[in-house]
Amino acid sequence: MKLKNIINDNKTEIYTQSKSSLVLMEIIISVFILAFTSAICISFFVAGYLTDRDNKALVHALEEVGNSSEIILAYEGDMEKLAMLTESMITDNKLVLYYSKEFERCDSSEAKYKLEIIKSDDLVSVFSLNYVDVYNNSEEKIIYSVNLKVSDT
Amino acid sequence: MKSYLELSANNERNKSNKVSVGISLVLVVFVVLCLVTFSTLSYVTAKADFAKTQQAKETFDLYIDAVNRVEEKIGSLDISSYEVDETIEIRENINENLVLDVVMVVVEENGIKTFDCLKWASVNAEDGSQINFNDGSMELMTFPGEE
Repeated sequence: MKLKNIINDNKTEIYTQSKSSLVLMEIIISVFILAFTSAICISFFVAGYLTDRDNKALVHALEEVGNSSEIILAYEGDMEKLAMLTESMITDNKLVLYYSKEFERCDSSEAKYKLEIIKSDDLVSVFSLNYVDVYNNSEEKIIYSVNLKVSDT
Repeated sequence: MKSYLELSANNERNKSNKVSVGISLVLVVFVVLCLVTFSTLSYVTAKADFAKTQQAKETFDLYIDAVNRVEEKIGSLDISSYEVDETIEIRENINENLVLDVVMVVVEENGIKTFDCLKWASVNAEDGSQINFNDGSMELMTFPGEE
């Protein structure tokens, strides 16, 4: 009776040990699979986030440049009126509007984006509207830019 | 003869010694499927939105080109050759479906002739109907002096 019990106990131990190593192998494989797919999926999430961020910036750039262009056209290129309407200052035929990360008007110190409206007087007035990412001041990146011609008549 | 309590204690010990194989793998497969689905969805949605915005950008570029051409035409007009109250219509293609329709009238103020804009609108190239981008849900800015 005792011998039978000992044999049974040994069998159970061997069975449990082999099962434990199997589980360990399974966990190792699972961790590898998880790590590999996570690395790929996180890169997809990051790419999606960056694309979405660029998209939002471009949408806002289009809105702001579109609005400013229409105001310039409506006022026939009068920068003073544009400055009055946008509550900003003109320096050297250049008007700059600053926007925060949330695309709201802000001071230059907190700015993430800026809209530059530059007037160059030629035969017809040409306005360059540049929407710029200024988050990193060392390298400004133009998100959207147009040249708008306004005749004097 | 073992008592009932001893037997049940042994059973419990055996149960706790049992190692379940496969649960972690099933969990990992589930997590991986979730990750792959959501990451792909987020990336595809972002890409689709960006493509739409690029389309809008191209249309706006074409609109600005048409505006520039209209402004050049207006600039080249000799206003003295027109009578007061005479209307001038300029049409410039924005793309194959849209036309920028500009109607101006010659007015005289203090002896100086100028153009007054009567219509500045994107119209349908086929039937000439005006494209209304605002369905009334968007609050438009009013210029000072305008009602």
